[in-house]
Amino acid sequence: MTSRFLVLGIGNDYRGDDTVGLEVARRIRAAGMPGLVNRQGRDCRQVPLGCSVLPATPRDLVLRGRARQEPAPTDPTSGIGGAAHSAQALAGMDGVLIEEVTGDMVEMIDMWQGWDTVVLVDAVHSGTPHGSVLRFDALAEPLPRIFSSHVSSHGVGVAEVIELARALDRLPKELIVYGIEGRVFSAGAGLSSEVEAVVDQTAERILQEFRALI
Amino acid sequence: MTTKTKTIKVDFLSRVEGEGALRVRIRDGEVTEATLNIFEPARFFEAFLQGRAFTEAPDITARICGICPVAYQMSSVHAMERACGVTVGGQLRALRRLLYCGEWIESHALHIYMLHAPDFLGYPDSIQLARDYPDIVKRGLQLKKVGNEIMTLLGGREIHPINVRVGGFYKVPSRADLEPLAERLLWARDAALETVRWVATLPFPDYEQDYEFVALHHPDEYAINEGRVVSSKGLDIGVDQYEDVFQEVHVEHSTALHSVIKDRGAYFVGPMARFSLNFDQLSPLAQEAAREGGLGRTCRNPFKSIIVRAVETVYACDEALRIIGQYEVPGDAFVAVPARAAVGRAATEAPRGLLFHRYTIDDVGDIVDAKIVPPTSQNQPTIERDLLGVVREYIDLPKDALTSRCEQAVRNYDPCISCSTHFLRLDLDVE
Repeated sequence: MTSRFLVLGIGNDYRGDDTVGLEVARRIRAAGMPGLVNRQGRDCRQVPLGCSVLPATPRDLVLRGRARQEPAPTDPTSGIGGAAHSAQALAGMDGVLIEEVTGDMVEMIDMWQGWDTVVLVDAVHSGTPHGSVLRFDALAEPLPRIFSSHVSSHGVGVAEVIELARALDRLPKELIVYGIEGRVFSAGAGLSSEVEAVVDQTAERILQEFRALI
Repeated sequence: MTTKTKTIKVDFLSRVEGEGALRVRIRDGEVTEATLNIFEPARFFEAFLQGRAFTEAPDITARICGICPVAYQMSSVHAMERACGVTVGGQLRALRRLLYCGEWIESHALHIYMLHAPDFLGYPDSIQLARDYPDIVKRGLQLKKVGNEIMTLLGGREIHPINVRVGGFYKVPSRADLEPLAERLLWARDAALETVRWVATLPFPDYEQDYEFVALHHPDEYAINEGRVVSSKGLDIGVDQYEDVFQEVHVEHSTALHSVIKDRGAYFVGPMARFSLNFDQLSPLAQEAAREGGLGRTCRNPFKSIIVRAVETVYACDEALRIIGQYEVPGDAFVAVPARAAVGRAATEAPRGLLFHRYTIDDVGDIVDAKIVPPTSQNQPTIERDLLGVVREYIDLPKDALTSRCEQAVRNYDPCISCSTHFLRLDLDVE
């Protein structure tokens, strides 16, 4: 049986740890999985970076704009750094799409239509230790939230979008949300060391979720 | 004598300091303070742009706002072209207008259905609205999607478009590319008309103010990408004089700069200003929709901005269809823009109002300095004035109802408050 997997990395490249959702998505993409497709469902395994999975950041923008930590070297036989390993383990997937969401969250409701398993990755600010990786099954229960972001005019956040989709019966079959506790959200900041330290392992955890479902 | 103090304080992002909050203080039945503090990502980007190539400005500025990237791109490319003495006309100009229409549709539909309408109907958010009126919310999402489709086709992607460059586009669409859009837009135009009829039935507080409306004005079209800067109190200047008349000032309570007209004070930018100053340039269908929605030639009730946004959505669909109908593939996707040492200024009409950019570039085209004045900072003094007025008007309401009314008054302006951070807000008990 084949499954189609969608990863939506959410964040803002200019707001410190708010970048982490995008970073996790980029690390998964960098693993060069087989089955990678573009939005139209076209196979783009051969050119995984040339399809619609283009980074939201233009070329060298982030690199030139601020110091950016390179991913720590990882064991090639395990973890996200082991592209060959991941590629083998994920053979048989029908399609994997990795997208970055940097603005309008509501658009995600359309983006995830037609995908079997959807994983969202975002930064959170919940009071847990910095760098904590939280996992929620959004089908099982609503995401916890202190209050509605009703007040902030553009603040239709991830929790709200999921609940809106639930109300309209437009959730995917599986929806997993990873939240990574951030420390720094100021403009122009890079990833904090606590958050940088968990990027690879989060990407690997997501890949493991996919492997378990094949 | 006893002192009765009521403080209404709403933090937009409760744990991130300086991001934005509104604060209203009432003492002995009198409003003593009504302030709004909105974080502005534009400041960071002004510094970030220095030393970058002038051709990078559209890509970089598109990232200031996730909801209105096209507005930032358009103000930046027009400013750079003005600096370099190049005019982009014909079908390239029309395509830019089409792209901008896409953003208006997307942004207005989002604001009307997801953010503003629930206020009027007593729902805490669009989720509750969707439970009771799923078909209405689905219509809003579909309408918004048509705007996104225009942005995807012309911009290369709907969020943070990458196809816009100084001088035009990297790639232009064929007529066949635009045909499916036209079909979708016919549906969207009807949906926008339905939207006008629907929002016109909402209950509106009786609240009107004598605002100074400021918007671009163009003799031949409903101004979006270019025009003179005019106001309802007689201002009529070229965009190069913008900084002679408008001034950004520091205020004590806010991290953001507030924009004022020198020696005159607060003014109002956005859909209601455009509508009131440029009614004659709306298409006949949009004018008819406005009348059907109960509007006259001007509108001074900020709560009715939701109707004006719906009318502008009708117009944007209508105008997009007109542009597509007259489209012919241009010979070149862009006009060459050779750099020269100069200052370039431009303003365009972002969904939420006038967006001014000014750049100084050197002879190789590197940016020496940048100034970006977003619509929200221009509206901030007016929003505070409205808050004062609304609290005075409704001071006897219970605290919850008054708080909601204040939030609604802020939302009248569709302010760009928190699109710069996207993290989840979580309430977790950790033992």
